[in-house]
Amino acid sequence: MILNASNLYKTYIRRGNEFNAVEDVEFFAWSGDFSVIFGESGSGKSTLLSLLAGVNRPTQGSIVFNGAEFANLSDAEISAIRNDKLGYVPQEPVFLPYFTVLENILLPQAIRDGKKIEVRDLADLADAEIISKLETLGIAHLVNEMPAELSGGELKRASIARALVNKPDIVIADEPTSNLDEANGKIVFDLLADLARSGTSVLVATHDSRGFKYGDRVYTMHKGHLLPSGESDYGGL
Amino acid sequence: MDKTDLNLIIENYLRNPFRSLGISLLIALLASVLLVGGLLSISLSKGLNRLSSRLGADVIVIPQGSEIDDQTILLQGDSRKAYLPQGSLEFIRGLADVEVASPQYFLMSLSASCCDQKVLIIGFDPATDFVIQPWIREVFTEKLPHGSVVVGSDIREGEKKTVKFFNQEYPIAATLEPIGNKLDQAVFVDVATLANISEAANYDSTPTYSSILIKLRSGADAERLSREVYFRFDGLQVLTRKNLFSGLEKSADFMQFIVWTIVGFFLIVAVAAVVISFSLSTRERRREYALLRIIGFARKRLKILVLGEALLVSVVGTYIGLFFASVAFFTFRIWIGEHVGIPFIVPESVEIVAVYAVVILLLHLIGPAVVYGVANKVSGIDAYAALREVEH
Repeated sequence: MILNASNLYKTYIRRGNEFNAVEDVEFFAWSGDFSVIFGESGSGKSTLLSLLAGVNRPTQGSIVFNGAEFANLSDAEISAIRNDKLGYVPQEPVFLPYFTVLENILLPQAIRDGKKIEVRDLADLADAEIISKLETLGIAHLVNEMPAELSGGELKRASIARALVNKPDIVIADEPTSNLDEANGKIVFDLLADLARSGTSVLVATHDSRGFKYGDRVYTMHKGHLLPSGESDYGGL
Repeated sequence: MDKTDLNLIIENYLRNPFRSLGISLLIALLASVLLVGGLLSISLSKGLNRLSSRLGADVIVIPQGSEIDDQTILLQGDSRKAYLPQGSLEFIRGLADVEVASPQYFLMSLSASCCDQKVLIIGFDPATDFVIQPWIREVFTEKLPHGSVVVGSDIREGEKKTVKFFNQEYPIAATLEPIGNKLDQAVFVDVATLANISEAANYDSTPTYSSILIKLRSGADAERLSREVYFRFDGLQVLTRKNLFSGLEKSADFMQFIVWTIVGFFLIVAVAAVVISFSLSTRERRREYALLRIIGFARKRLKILVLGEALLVSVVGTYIGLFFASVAFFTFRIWIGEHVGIPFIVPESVEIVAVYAVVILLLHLIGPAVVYGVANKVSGIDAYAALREVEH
């Protein structure tokens, strides 16, 4: 098992009242899993993904990644996991504006290796696997541009490429197909499915109904609760 | 800090030139002011100290009407011909408070081979002098040969190492260390040599003294001595060491106050600008920092990144400032010395290096030090909240 979360809570205070964005969640992911979480806006999907990605700290509960309990790890150790073992795609793409898209994509690699980003042009990139993924995502011809030059959908795909660059054990993607047209959405799902087939665990939160087709474990998030598909009171799938 | 961090710091600097260079220029201005302020301050202190140690006398007697306000008499070299009354030296030597009284003789050359302007020739009595000879002994330990001269640091030596007055050449025995005033342009001779020069100039071959320098006995009363001299003679002034230096010290203190006030002003402006600029910039860049967190930056590393950016801005500014300030100060040091109206000696190499070291150290630390609080805030960023800030 790569990831195991149990009794997970995330509590916020809004206008003086406590509310649970995530409540009593149990979740596990194995190598090669393709897990999909559906849910309406505000149901807690993004918060849950941020907790599982180690970007956010739970109020209560435990998250175990590859046998290591997050709560027992230092910030540096969790950061190293986020860098190398866990690819996180945030809901809204974010890039360093003064680096090219390619430099942004290669940044996790540079951080892992403690090196400066030496490849500034796709023509200089030697890693065939990364080139292949950039081509699959349809952004190979755009990576020498600055982020400000790309559309939202293109940035989303670049954000996915960046999450994959260190060949993580698990990819956690928040709405990976938002801002994408039908064809590009399919390309992204296909790519994630390929990753899952090759042994990477994939967890996706989405509104995109195609997720049903790709997910081999499908959940619904409702008012902070994570429910296996079919047990949801939320009938909007 | 590894190469990735360094890469991010440098690229962030280069690719935000307006902001980065803006802060660097402010630091550069601070570096310039600090360097010039430091050098100026040392120069003024050295000038006063050197002058004080050179003077050596507790009391000076000079002709009345000499311009004491701007301290030109003796301290700076007086170009006017003014002599003390006959018998005053002998009278003073006979006073109980006086340990030594030594006369000085001033003669202004009309022209000299060494200089573009008139040269003040100062004669001293080798038997009693306790002021000029110790100064000469710092650079020339032997007895000054008759007919030789010792010159101030600004007097140019000819190829033959001589100086020419009234068509006669005099060998230069030594050149003195700079003192930072008009004495650097004077020539020093013993009284016998001065008599020869006077003769060559068709002056009276027995020079008359222009001042008497007095060393008091231990526990002597300078005020009593003054009263006794004034009671016996008209047409002279008795100046104590305190009288002589109070004006100069006030001027030097005022100048130091101005210099350090300007330094303080720029320090406050630079610190405020760096803090405000980094606070605004880090607020704008919250999502960038959040990104770095999600792709593997630990909090401590994020803090180092911000401190590194502040350090780079400081380092660039410091060296730009030091370069321009150095060029300006060392190009115009003579002009500055001439115009401050206070003895001014450019510091020695070791002192200059020390000032540079202090400025470099201080300014390299200033960026990271004042940005430390901002860096702490950045390192504590809630990455998830920052990522969602623009989303909703």
